[in-house]
Amino acid sequence: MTAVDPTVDPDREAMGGADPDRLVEIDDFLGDPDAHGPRGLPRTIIGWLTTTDHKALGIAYIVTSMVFLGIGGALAGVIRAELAEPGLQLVSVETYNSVFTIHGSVMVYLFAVPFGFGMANYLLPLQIGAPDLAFPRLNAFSYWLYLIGGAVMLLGFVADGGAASFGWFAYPPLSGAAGTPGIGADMWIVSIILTGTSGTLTAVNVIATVTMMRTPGMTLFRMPILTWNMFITSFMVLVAFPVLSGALLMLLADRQFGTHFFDPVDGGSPILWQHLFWFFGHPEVYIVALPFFGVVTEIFPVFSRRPVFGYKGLVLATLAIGALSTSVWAHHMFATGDLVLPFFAATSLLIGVPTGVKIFNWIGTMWDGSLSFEAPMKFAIGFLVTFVAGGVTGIMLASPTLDFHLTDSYFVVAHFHYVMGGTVIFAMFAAIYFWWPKVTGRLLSEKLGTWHFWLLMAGFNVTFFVQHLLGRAGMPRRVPDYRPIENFELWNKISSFGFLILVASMVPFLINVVRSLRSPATVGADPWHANSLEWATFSPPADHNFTWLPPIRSERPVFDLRWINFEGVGAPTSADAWEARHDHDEQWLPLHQWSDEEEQKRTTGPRPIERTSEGQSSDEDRADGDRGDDGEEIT
Amino acid sequence: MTSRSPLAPPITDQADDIDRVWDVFLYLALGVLAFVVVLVVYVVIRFRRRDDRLPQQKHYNIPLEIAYTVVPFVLVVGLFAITVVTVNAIDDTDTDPDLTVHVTAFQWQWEFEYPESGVRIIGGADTDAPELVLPADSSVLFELESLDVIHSFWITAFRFKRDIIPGTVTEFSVDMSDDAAGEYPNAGVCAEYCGLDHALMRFSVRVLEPAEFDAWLVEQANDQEVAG
Ligand code: HEM
Ligand SMILES: [Cu+2]
Ligand SMILES: [Cu+2]
Repeated sequence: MTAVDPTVDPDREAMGGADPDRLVEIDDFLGDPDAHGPRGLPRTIIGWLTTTDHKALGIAYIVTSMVFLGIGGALAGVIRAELAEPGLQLVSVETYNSVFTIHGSVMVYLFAVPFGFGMANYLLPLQIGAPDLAFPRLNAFSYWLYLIGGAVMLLGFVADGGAASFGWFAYPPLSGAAGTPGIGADMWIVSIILTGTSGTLTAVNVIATVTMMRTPGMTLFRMPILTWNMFITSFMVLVAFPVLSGALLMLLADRQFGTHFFDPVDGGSPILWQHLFWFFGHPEVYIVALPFFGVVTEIFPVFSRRPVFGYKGLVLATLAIGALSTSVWAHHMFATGDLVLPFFAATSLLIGVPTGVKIFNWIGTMWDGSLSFEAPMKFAIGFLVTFVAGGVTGIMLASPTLDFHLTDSYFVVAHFHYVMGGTVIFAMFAAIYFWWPKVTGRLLSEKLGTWHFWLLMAGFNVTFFVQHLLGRAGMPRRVPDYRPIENFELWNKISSFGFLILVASMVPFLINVVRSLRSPATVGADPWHANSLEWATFSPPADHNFTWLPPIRSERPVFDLRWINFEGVGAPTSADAWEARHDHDEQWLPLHQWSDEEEQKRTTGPRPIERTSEGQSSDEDRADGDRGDDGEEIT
Repeated sequence: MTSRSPLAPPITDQADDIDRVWDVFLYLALGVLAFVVVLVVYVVIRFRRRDDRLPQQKHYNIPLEIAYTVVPFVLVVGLFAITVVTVNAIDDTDTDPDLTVHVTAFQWQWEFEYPESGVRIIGGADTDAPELVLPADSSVLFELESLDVIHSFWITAFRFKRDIIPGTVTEFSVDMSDDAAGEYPNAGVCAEYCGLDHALMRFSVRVLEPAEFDAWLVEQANDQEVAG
């Protein structure tokens, strides 16, 4: 970034109080990065095995999930190679069926969700000014559970009878003992129970962290949107994951212990499974997506030099999505005919509204801004366009009238790859390019980033656009073979060719990563001139994250520090601590932002409460039940 | 759809309805997509960084925010209205059809039975797709039953599929168009993944004029009596 020489609009009102003559660099506040002990990740194997540091575990999550992305991508390669021509060429039908099952399962359970948890691990404590997550050991446990769960799924390939082959939603009776004999299927079930439990524990951790460990001044409505989205996602995880784990245990019991929950021959109900699975499955889609919505909501403001447009509307939209997403599940079951169709059509169409609101929030953020197009911004815009393309086909599928034809066809495959690809592919790379300097202290090459972006954009659309046509024309999903009709062959060839472009797009990315890692770590705290607290510490951050914090008076503390001269306001003090706790005790949802009057009250109000080393409050007036918010000091 | 499309033309009154709804949704979807893309391209060009000035920092505009919530809401309500009207028509099972067809799905073949005349068509163990024969210009009720796992009965020319769930008999009915007569090779597909040879669970559809159909049915009944 070039140094900024602001000759600014004199209208201070419209500037949100920004002072054109003030531009400070965070580095000037921080001093010597190495004066505070070691920074960065563990350097020994024992260090990695025993770490409870949220940053190390965050990286472990992210690297592991990227490895799973590679595996899932390789399996996708098998699928596309087999489908490049009609008939069977490459693999047997049995193998193909395992391959698409494990592709879908790896991508959803082992890549998309855990990548989000990885970001929650690394970024969330930093964004709210906390030293770690609330329960660091639980966090380490979650990670290892996830890793073991992932390994169990993949080991299915070497099990007797091969890996699970009933698709990622495992409909019984096909997924029962008679439909799919073989231990691979049981391993799949166990694997997802393990990763699901891991996710549930992480969600608990995130909720505890956000409720208890925000730094003084960080009211809920000053949290970065990424943190908000992680917070809301975690509640959705708590609603959805246990249902899945329960259903999977029932399925396992059916397979192994002779129960008949889902077995129609003995009075069980296959439809019950579908309700349970999709009660998890649809929130799951948003559990995957929301963290990445958060990512781009961090990126657009920085590269537009504008605040998030409609912050509160955005949070409310996310809450609406979270709430609605628990009542749309049966849109995956329209074709069973066994439903109140209009109800689920209504909720499914309705969820398009808050999603649409977000799109306009993002565009509104860029509007009137000063846009620069470094790699994170490119990928964020790529996300926006791709995601909208997936969203509009989602609206089509929400109408049972159309879904009757389109469901279980390649149209659906195209739809969810646009949605998932937009979020977990484009927004994920946006996140990687954006936070890379923070995590590694190094920059990535813009030139290679540009190549990466355009190749990905091309490859993605070539691969998946034609799948809409295939599905509408009658190609079902989950088939290794298709009718040798001219258009089917042509479209499938195009799609398979697109996969090659996708593979090519990874080359500049990998070169970029390797080159960057081999260069010296010289980046300062805040290379992008960003907004949220993680940019107010060194890159990589110090042990326990912060040696100093700026005052927090809006959702952009680092921006404010850079541009706004708060008379007499310094770093957070115990008075701020009192204020934050006051917020927390008085309101279940602290909706207000500090205004100047409250600023007065804060400095002239009652004496702040000191914390003792046990973390107990010395204030006797407060009801006993409110004590919980002191929690443990984790340092 | 152009004639080069591999998609069979609609052959029921319901399919005609569905295709009309498809058009509405498709054009709206393309419209929304185009609108957003144009907006993004405009923003990217118009507001690209020209100098290092800090742009204005206003971060809300309540009327605008209300507008971009209400407009999508209104669109969605419209789409919902269209959906409800058509879905009720499609989903309405005819209790007094001209013809009933009993479909039995099993791994990985189909059996079509015409209960009124006792005629059965069974797909062979070879991968030959069985043929479902239907009369034009009549109402047909399908009763669907599975012997093992879940399958889904999808005739692309109907623009409709219905899952076949073991343990229950699902049903739906259609009104065959008066101009439906013709051959629709491989228009029938099993759409729910059902194990190993799911991909091969296809069938063809042939629609005859009502009189021809009656003759075909009599002929089949005689043949099967001789055979069985
Ligand atoms: C690397 C690029 C990718 C390619 C080329 C690709 C390709 C495909 C194809 C062709 C299918 C259909 C298989 C079939 O029905 O026979 C499929 C299924 C699927 N894909 Fe992908 N995919 C990619 C990435 C992803 C990502 C990133 C995700 C999610 C995060 C994902 C999730 C799924 C799921 C859930 C299924 C359904 C599996 C099932 O039917 O059980 N894919 N993919
Ligand atoms: Cu869904
Ligand atoms: Cu099937």
